Amino acid sequence: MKLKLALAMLPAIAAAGLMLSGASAQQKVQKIGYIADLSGPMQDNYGPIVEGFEFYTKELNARGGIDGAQVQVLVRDDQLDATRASSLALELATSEAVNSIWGMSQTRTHLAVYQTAARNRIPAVAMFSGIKEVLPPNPLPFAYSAGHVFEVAGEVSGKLAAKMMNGKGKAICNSIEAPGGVAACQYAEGAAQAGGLQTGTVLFPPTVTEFGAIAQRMLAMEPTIVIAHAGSGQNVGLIKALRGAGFNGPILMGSHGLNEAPLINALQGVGSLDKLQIVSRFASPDSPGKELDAIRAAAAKYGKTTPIATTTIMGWALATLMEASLRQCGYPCAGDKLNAVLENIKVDMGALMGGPIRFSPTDHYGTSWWRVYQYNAGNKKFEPASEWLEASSTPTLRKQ
Amino acid sequence: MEARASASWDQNWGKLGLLPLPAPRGGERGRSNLPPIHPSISPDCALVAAFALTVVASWGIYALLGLGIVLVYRTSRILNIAGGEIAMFIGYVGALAVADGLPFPIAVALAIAAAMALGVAIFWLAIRRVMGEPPHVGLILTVGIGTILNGLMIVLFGGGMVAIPTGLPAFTTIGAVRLPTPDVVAAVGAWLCVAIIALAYRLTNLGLQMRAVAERVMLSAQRGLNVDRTLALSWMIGILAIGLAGILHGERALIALSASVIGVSALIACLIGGMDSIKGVVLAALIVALTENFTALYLDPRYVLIAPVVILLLILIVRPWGLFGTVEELRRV
Repeated sequence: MKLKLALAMLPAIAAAGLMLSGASAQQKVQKIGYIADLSGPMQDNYGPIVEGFEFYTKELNARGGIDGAQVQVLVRDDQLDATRASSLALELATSEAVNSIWGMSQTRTHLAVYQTAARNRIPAVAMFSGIKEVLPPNPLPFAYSAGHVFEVAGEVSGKLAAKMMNGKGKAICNSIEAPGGVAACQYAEGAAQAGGLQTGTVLFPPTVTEFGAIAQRMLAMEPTIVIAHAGSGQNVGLIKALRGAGFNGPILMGSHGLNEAPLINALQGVGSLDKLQIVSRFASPDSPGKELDAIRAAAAKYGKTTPIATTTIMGWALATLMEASLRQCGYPCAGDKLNAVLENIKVDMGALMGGPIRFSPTDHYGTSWWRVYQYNAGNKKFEPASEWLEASSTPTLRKQ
Repeated sequence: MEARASASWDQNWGKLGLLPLPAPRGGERGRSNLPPIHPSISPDCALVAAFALTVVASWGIYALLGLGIVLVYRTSRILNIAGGEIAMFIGYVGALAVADGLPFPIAVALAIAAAMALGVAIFWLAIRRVMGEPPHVGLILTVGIGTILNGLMIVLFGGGMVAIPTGLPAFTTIGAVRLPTPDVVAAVGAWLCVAIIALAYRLTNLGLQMRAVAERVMLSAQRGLNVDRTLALSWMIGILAIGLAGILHGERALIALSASVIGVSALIACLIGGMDSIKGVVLAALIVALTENFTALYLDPRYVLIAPVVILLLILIVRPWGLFGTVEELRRV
């Protein structure tokens, strides 16, 4: 009897199995790629950006994904190596058949990823600092950037320095001797000169970590304001050395991927920090707003134990752009179709940024908005000290 | 959102609140910002004084790191070119301890213990096995040790740039002179360590044993000296010196993967001074520190890492064994 029952059940079991496997085959997934330096020298900067991106994606999938398709982010680690980044982009585009690549590391890896992505006809969207010369509207289709562009950041910082000093005094820009740093200081000097300041630049090798004599050199140039476009860690060394050498004037830092908490901790006990400012394209981690609340809630939900940083916000903002573009593209979304969407996209960023991310066929960077944050020694936080200031994607004030 | 963002710079500038800043005191330019060492000292003198302290601190750190390299070279004839990585590894230990809330002195004690353990481990696990092999084998081994430490720093500590705050006030007043505390701590700490290690090498039994092994290893063994133990202790002290240099560099500047370049500066000092000469490395560390800092202040900071190499090349052309190094004969069998 039992055997008969079992035999009778077999077709039903088989049918149920087939239905289940069919359902699993119909599980819709939209694969996207993400490349960044996650174990190399800049992992401190990129780790929180990926984290913010993944927090957003988890929340997006929890809301049902895109047209019922779950968004699967395939994260790859380029270790800040251009060759490796290019290979990873190729692997993502071919083996994994992603329809886009997001994130990306510094300028040195941007071009490699952009070119590989373009050859495979999938868009690549950077969120970290890059140089305009390797970005569209120069001839690179499928390439976009929603992050800091060094020339724009330089020009904005120079304009701000001139405003802060009422057009009187001398601005000294400093950065590492790398294309991005050099470009930032060229435009910072140009803009500061246009605003009435005298200017100078001090460049140093990327590996320098002791800034005593470099700070003294800057002081000997008689600055009234210092503009810093070095990396986050080097800024700590520079500020320490400048304050130690007795410079009590304002120091305006370009925020090229900033983790506030480690910076603030490292700066305790180095002298007066009451004239320390950051100029950034993004909201600060302590800003109000429903988007910021959502990041903080997601960070708590997914077990983040350290405070969110500007870099976390950058990742969340990039993922906001990702969702908007995939929604407009629909499911399934091929690279060509997504590229067409990105070329005409405008996404409101709410409180995350000063304005929307907007790309056009002739401008894959778009207008940006910048804000000054002033360090408050009382609560050890950077607080907004200006409204959002608009900047064109085509800076013009390069130092001649 | 767009309406909020579309205001012009001048419109928005009115809402800045904290900005613009008041005009600088003392005129249009920032001379008033130069180091307020003493009212009677002119800004230029102040700059020279600050520069002198910077050089003394760098000199002390390079001398201490170089001393660690020379000590192990003298006893084991192995050129340890992983000095920079070892310094940063121990520096990260100290930085992590401070970040976890330990007071600076406790963090330093912890880092010292880590350095001594690392020194003994490097000797027993690696160096001891290549003793007596051609010199290049030991050298390549230290390259491997440096690479491993580099990877460990990324995995264990994140590889970012971190400082080691002491918790002390930003400035130290000595008489009428006000100086940056990190440089004072680095200079005093480094020279104290150099003096203690050099005197111990000269005056203690252990130092005598290390010198005996350095000069006649076979004879030392025949006279009952435990050569392995002596070599292990010399590596322990050598790595300790290197680790202390790393901690002081982190206290004064930054701990970072890229900061292992201080090992290159110290190695250049060793080569200029002579690989087996303690007084040579101390003197040559001054040459390196002065060259680097002079280049940064008066020439161009972009060449700060190249300038000492030029000096090294010039000295090697004239004296390949360094200023105070011993000319060693090649023995061929």
